[in-house]
Amino acid sequence: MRHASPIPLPSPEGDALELDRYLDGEMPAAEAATFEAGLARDPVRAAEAARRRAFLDGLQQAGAAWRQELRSRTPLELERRIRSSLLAEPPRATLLPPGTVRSRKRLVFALRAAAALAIVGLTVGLWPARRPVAEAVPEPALAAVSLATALAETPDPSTCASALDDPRGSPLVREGGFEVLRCADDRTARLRRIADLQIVGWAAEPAAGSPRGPDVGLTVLSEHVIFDVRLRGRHEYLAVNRSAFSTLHERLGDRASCFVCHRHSRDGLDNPHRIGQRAWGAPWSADAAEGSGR
Amino acid sequence: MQDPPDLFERTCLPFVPDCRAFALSLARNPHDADDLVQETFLRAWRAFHTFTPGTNAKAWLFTILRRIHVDRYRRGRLRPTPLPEDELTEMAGAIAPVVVDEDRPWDHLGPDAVERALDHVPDPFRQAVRLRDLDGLTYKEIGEILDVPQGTVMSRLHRGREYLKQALVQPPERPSGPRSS
Repeated sequence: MRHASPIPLPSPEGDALELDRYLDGEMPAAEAATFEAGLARDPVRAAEAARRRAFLDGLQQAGAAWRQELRSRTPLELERRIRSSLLAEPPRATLLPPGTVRSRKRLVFALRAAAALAIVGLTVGLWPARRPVAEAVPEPALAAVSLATALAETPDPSTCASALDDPRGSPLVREGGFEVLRCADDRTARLRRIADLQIVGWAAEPAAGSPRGPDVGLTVLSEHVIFDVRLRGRHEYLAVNRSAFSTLHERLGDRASCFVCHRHSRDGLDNPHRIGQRAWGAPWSADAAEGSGR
Repeated sequence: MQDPPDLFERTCLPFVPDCRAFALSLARNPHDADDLVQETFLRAWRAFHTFTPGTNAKAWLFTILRRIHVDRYRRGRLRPTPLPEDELTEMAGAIAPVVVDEDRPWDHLGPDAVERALDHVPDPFRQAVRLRDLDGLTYKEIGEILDVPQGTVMSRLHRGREYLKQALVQPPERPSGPRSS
């Protein structure tokens, strides 16, 4: 950092700070009215305020122009990395209404307290009376035990088979507008998209030097991750449970996305695709795939 | 009640570019900045249930980002060169006041010039100006992000703007050659 010659700069005056606060719109209305009345009575200060306003307006316009350019300066790779790291994390509980505060510490504390209650309940209830557990455990403790059990397992309420039996009850159909064609296994379905899905995700292309393969798209829904593959001019979709995918992602990192499709034939291979960001919100098209990640 | 992944997508992910610009201004090198941004979004995702809908998500993300930066700095993982406040105040006294035409000195300059000029403003002052004039945050939000009282925000902002004006009108000499991004 280089600086100009050492001529003292006077400390900012209170007036100058107040003027900035007024021009920045940070003064309460009543105070601003008083401030304006003061300016109206003092032409020198009014002229100074006008100059300062011009300066700040110009600065903020430059700021707006700068913000417009930010997206083009951000590497696509960074957004891809962020999305990958988020995929590895299980989805969190739903948001609470505004004004409600909940922290992980509180949740942990509540679980511990409930578990302690359960133990106390069991001890007090079972030992002297030798009653069955279900009768001995107080209701809140039962809820806590259920929650702990649920957290320990990977929730997968919908299997592919059940989606085939009752497509309208399938979250895949509800979430992404898909029709289930057949099952690859319990957690994997081959789908057909009923309506055009607005794609928010990535498009994968063959990495440099590898044989040209189909383009692959990846869409993250709330409960599922959808891969769309362009094969012989038509699209096929593969859905996996998002929790299962997250678990896989923890083990394999970025390779997980290819492992899902290639596990039977290409297990152990490095990710053969180069993944670029697809146009935000754009429907899938060959052009979009060709244009992405380059 | 909205679904967190969708809401996070719409509320937070559009601010990746803003966060990267802020991270660059803190870390001063693209590699560390990208790392900071990635960590920020991961922590925001984990803590998203604590976010209050309707409040400023950008300010919330910036607060997380700066805390991570400070933590990393304390652990020696980053190498920024912030100066103590006393030293900065002395430096403030050592900068020449230039009588300039205050009427839009950047009329002939693009946003890049403003960003480059900001590089020559001492760090805490630069952050205040950046957060207010480039990112459009309020004094209160800036105070929360920088963890300083609003009075300090006002003072840093005013001084930062004065330095910026000087740098725009009379840019400091810089070594020849292309500027690294």
